[in-house]
Amino acid sequence: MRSDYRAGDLLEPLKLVVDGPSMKVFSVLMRDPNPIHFDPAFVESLGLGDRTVNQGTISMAYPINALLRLVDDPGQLVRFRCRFQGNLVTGDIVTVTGAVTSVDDELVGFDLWVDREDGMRALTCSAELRR
Amino acid sequence: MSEFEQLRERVVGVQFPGGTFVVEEYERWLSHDAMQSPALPDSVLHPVWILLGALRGMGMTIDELTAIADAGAHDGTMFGETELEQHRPLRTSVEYTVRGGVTDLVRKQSQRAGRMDLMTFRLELVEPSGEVAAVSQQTFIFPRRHGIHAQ
Repeated sequence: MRSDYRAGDLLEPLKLVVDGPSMKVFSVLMRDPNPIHFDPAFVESLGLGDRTVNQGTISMAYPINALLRLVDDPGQLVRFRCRFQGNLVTGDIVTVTGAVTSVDDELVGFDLWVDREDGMRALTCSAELRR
Repeated sequence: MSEFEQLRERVVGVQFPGGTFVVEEYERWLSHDAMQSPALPDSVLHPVWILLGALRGMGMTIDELTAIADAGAHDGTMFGETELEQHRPLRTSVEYTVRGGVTDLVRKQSQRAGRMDLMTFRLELVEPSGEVAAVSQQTFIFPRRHGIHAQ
């Protein structure tokens, strides 16, 4: 991990495409029976369009991925918080951005955001990495 | 005492049955691929597994969890906030014990969404040595447009 972080430093943005088959894998792994994650016809019947809705657990992995790129040891991530503000659906292109908020002898604090291309914010997060 | 105060008194402090979970190597591979994770050291699990493991090992289903607060699938329950504490990374093939319960229930009024209750629960993931490896704290949002539903 870099040793020269300062409050206000910006993270390199991370761009990802929300992937439908990954939702099916998570539905099985988590024994999550909710069809909004795997059945486009069901999503359509709810009036939510025809693209399946990402699990929150997959969406929250995206900002964590952005943090894991910064560290040598995944154990350096000591705390992560996030607030869910909007759904992501199959095919959405999302960008994770972030900024350093605090630096002390032990920890570096970050704020992170996950936004869709149309500007809708899906997640607002914060985290602490051990130096 | 109001209906909400009665619910709060009944719900806060409820302990979950708890249980254990083990993540197999093939589950690590599949989940990391699905999360588009960067490469991690052998056997180390992505931190999202703190939440996934907590839900697996808490000893009840999500439906049973929401029923504690007299809510159900028909109420449009939503994931509100998540907080993960990682003391040590979780690993495959280790049996973790999950323990914890409901720590808070608050009522909020939103102009857009109306009245809602926010239930927070905290789960510790304990290694075979007895040390806490990680903590998962979640808040579920229960819209209460039509009041509290008795289950």
